[in-house]
Amino acid sequence: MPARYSSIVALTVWANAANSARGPRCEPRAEVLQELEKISSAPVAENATVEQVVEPLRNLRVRLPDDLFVHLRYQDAIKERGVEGHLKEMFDEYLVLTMKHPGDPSYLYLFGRALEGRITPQAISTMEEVLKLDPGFVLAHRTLAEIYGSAPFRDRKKESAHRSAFQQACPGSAIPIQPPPQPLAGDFSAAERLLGKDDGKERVVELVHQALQQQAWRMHRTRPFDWYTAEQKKQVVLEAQSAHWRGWSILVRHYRALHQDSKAEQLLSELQDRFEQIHGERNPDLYWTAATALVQLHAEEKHAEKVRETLTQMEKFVAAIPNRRRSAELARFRFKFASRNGR
Amino acid sequence: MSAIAASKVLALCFVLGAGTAALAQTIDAVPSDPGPRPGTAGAGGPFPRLNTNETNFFNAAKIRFAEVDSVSGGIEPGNGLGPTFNTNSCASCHAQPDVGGTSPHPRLGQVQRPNPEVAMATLDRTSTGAQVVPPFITADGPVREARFIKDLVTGRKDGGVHGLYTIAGRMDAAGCNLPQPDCVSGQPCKPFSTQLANNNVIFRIPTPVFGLGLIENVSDLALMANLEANDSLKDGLDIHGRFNTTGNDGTITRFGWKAQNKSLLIFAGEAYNVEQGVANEVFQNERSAVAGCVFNPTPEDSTNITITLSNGSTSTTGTASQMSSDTVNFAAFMRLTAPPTPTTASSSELNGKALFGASNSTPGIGCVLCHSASLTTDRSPFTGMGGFTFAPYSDVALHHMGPGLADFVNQGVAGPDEFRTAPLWGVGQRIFFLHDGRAGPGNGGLLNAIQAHKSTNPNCVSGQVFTSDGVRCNSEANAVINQFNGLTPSQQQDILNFLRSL
Repeated sequence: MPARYSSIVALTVWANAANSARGPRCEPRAEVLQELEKISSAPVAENATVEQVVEPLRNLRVRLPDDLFVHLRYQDAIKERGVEGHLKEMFDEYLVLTMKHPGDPSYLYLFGRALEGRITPQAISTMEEVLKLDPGFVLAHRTLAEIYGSAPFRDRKKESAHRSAFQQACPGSAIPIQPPPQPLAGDFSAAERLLGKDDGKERVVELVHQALQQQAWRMHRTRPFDWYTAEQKKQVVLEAQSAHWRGWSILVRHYRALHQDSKAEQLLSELQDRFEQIHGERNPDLYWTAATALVQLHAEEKHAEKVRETLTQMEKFVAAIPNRRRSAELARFRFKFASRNGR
Repeated sequence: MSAIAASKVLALCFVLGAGTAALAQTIDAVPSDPGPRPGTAGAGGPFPRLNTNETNFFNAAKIRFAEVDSVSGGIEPGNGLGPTFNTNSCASCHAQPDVGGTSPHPRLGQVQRPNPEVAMATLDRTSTGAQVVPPFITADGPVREARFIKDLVTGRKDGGVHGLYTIAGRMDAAGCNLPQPDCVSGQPCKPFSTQLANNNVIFRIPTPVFGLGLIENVSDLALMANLEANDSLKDGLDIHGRFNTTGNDGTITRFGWKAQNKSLLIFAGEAYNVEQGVANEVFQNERSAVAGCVFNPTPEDSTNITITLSNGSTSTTGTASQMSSDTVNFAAFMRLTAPPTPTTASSSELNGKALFGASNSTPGIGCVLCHSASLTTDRSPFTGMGGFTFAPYSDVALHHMGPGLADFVNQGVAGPDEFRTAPLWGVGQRIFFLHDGRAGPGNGGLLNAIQAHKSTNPNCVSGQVFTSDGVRCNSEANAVINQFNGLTPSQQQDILNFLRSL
């Protein structure tokens, strides 16, 4: 997992604590805060797994099983760094805890929070239930303000009401914006810059892999429930497919630049096999991405026959599934490679 | 020596006269498997009587059957691979002689490609993420799944499939640390080593799926009548057989090496989950669902409420194939495929057919008593598939195959040495035989497979039928194999030639 995502979400410290008669405090007790800060400031290895990052928080939770703020931090870490399996696991954990503590607004709140961004309508109703059980449970207002402030559940009136209720109890406290920004796309520029250069060429493969893994993380972190739509998820999947063809193309060029021709040819042949397995009608974007990558790689090595074959396949594809952008691209390729052959 | 070569030698000997008859007999004395039948694939297309709409559905379903999966669709377009898996596409293993078949071989058959399971160790993995090819998987060996007989820790029956690989180390599965079986993170991995050392692993190879819609559509009554036909002859040969049945409605289950799966839909759903790790509407739960290795909501494959059209727009309507899940498409592909087309024509093949047994009433040496040559379908919603008589060379029943083939796995009614009679249609173009692929080009192929039908437990005492572990002392096929062994080499060769014409 990329280093830029390795930091745990900074703990929101609610200044000017104003405890309600029954509800929780606005901030952790000093000794708990100290423990949490110790965990968040501990160095995290670049390749640390979610389990490794979360382990100290799990341990603290064992020591302080009823401390709401320890649970909150644990949930935040899972939401920030976890994948689908971790979210499921967290959901199950808090479902069980709620069942073990019936009528306890703290556990009900934590369960509702586990649903936030995942089954958000149920998270909303759970928060409302918490407030019925304990009107002084101000953190439920905070969560509702978060939800009603998010694009998919925007309701200015409700957001404002819950924001006021929370800030009245905990003046000056922040309400996070949901959903958090998507992770950045994989960056291939560093690998591309090193192509053919003497300095740093040994890092090309590693940089490509890093970029691909970053792209995969962006895909996995865009969870197709409430915060992100199925369309957004589909978009990042397509981006990831496209990124792989870009990465593989860089690697072919890299091996060529190092005169490792057999390695380059082997990878190119694998790419050709992958292309043959893509059904254009079912996956038109991927088909086109793959075809354009291949035609360029073949052209760079003057594989005239392969270039012709691929262009013919692309032509048939454009005829079967008309698309203006692809037609224009195809025309450009035809012009470019025809003139190159002419020279 | 091939059958053709042997017959040429024989012909030459006749020309040379009686003095060379002894030589001819010597050459003739070694029957051999002619190997996979060359020429066009005798299977892989749609059932020929289907109408245009049904054929279109078949063709679209076949494309889905060949789709390649990655973890979340970010590399190959299919979605849901892992956490554990054997391969990444149905068609990679169901390959020979065409999509829907069985294990390919790098130098034999119509397809000629290496065992796809070898490549899974390195495909789409990071520079440090390669996994280890288990020792029982080789480039020119059969595609295999591994099942453990029991749990070595608790001693309880296992019987389930354990994936050869995990997605740990793949580009699209960062954070997943699930090791291969018997491996521990950070130590040199020897997958399956402990299980193999304890003789706790059994294998299964993919069954071809051609023509399965016909088998699905034979009534239970017809199957029972077929099993009961020629009862006295079967009894005399110690052949019995029974059906595997579902605990739900008590009807006959038909698919898989032990006939453990009731329907093609269940068969498809089970395989999708077990072989590729794709949780689906039939088998909804991820296997080996370690939190850090679960990347998708489940089920990963489901009915499509909306589809994306090729022009990029979204629609709530589409073809049956488009709206259906992968699993439904896989089942449709299997259901609507044509059965393999036999080429039985030469006098040797026809003689072999007669010896094998053409029907219950002309049973030859008795192979056909289990490998039934004629079943008829019930009514069918698909054009031309109802009331259709076909030759699967299987009675779909379970038979005790004795200690030689026993795999000690129970599935449904099927016990440790019981197997469904393997359908022999299409066997002419297969490379590997028997449930675990133990018979193949390197060790006699079909002839080895025939001989493996016979086995006896030498520790059984007179009158003993079963050993304490539920394995029959004698295979039900012993008497028939004795009859096969009593044939002349030339007759045995005829049977082999006949089988290679199927």
